[in-house]
Amino acid sequence: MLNKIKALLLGMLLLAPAATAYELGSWNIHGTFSQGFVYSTGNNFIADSKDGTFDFREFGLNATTFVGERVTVGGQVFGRKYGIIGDDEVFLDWLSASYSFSDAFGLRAGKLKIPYGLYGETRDIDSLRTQILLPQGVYVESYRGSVNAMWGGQAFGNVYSKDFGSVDYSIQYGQSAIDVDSGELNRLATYIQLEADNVNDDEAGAFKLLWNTPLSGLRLGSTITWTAFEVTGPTDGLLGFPSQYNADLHDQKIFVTSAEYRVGRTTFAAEHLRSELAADVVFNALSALPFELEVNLSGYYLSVDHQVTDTVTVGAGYSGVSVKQKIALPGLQTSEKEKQEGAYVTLRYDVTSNINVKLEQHIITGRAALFTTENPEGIKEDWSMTLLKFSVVF
Amino acid sequence: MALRDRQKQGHFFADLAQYHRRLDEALARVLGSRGVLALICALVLTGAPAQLAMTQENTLHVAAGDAVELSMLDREELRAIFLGRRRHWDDGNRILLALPANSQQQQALLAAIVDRTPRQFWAHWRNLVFAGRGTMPKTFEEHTLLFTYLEEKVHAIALVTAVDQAATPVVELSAIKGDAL
Repeated sequence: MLNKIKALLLGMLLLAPAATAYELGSWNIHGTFSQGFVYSTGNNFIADSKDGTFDFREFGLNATTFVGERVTVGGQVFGRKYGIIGDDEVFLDWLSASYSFSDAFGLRAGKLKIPYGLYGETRDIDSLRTQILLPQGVYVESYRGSVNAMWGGQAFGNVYSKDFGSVDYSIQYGQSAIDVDSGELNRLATYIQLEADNVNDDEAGAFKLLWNTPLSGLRLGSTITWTAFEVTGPTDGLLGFPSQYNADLHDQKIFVTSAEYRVGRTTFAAEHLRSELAADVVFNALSALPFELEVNLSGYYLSVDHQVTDTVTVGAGYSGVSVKQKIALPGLQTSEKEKQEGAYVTLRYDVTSNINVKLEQHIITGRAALFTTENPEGIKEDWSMTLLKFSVVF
Repeated sequence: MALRDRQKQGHFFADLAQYHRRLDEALARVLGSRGVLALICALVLTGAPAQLAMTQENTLHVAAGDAVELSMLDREELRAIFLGRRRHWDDGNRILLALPANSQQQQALLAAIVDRTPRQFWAHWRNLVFAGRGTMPKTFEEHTLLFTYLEEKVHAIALVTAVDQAATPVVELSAIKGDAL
């Protein structure tokens, strides 16, 4: 796999000077590769980050073409390594065909990206932002797989008014597309000492409204996503003998409210997240004793970045998230609440318009969104992270 | 792994840990004070839009293919077009975008129309591309190639700093309705 990545990196470096796109007949081809290094103190943010780890990279290839004046067809494959998640396996990120009746109304079908805040649809592409890590108060890594994409149909458009600016909207409905092989669900399941080895996708939907206000540079928006799926796996780790469990995550709703204001070379952004997840869990060996799991998240961040010169950009931000988890058994209820808050600063250097290097420092307080399996010696309250990342995009 | 390599790696991580502690302490001092606020204020104060001096020979223009009626466009519509919010002409044909590849020229043109630096502009378009919502504007190293493209693609529109061919509809940006360039 490492050789494949090296080949991909070499290919990207060769293609990178090719300005804005690589054309193959009527197809526009784009690609990205980023390789990062994470070093943390106190806690492992991802596996082995306390020792310093290079298991932090993403790569993708994207192709789009027009068919006539109204139809657009495109797709993207993507892979990543994020600690124990991903393992550099390439998967279909999105694949769609759209028909635009007008700018104000179009229809799209296929595997669709799920709108999530201002930057969720393109969080995979490191080069598009100043930060290395999108603020964890809203872009919670643990949720990434369940809000990445879904199969279904979408109505979309941009309604433009000279006096009131324009509104981008989309509404989509279909079936969730959770990738169990990514290891992300498995990592989540370790919260309650379980493993996840199968997913049955269920309904999913999303709604996005983004107002490009008449005040130049000001965008206000909101996204709502909901997904449902069923997870099964072994309970050996928890019960100590071979058996299975079934978790019906029938209700995961995520609301993100967003504001971004760009004035000259400076961009301010603030977003707020509220999410609710409810699951009915049954252990086959203890089917008479089902329990309900509820996880509620509330998070926010404030960020600013400033392009100092054509090649240097600095950024800073503050982010917080609180996670409330409740487990209800017949006659027994337990709940726990964890928080995490942190500040970061980033320095980005654009070597060319296609290649950049970033350095980022985080100072964090709190234990939320950390995994005991990756921190077997216990999770510390105060910790920090240094990240370095190199990215190519064309 | 050879012993020397392990020692080197050990030194590297020890150095990194030392750097990390020093950085943490420095940042904690900054963040503990009103450093963030000061940083934000400093960023805002230096955040004026990029402006390039426009000379006579560097006048900004909009040029388009034969099928485009430039006189019908105003600055807000140009902004919507070059940010990919308006994608079709009134007759239903797809709008094709073009720009000179020269970054100095891009800087002046993009500041005038979309109030963005080239980095902000291309990041905006890459966001659309990687989300499956658009294709990037084409760029041309030479004006002659750009104007040839406009001749071939009658529904294309471009921002340019030089006017090479009288046959192509061209409007000086300062003559575009509803703006004060």
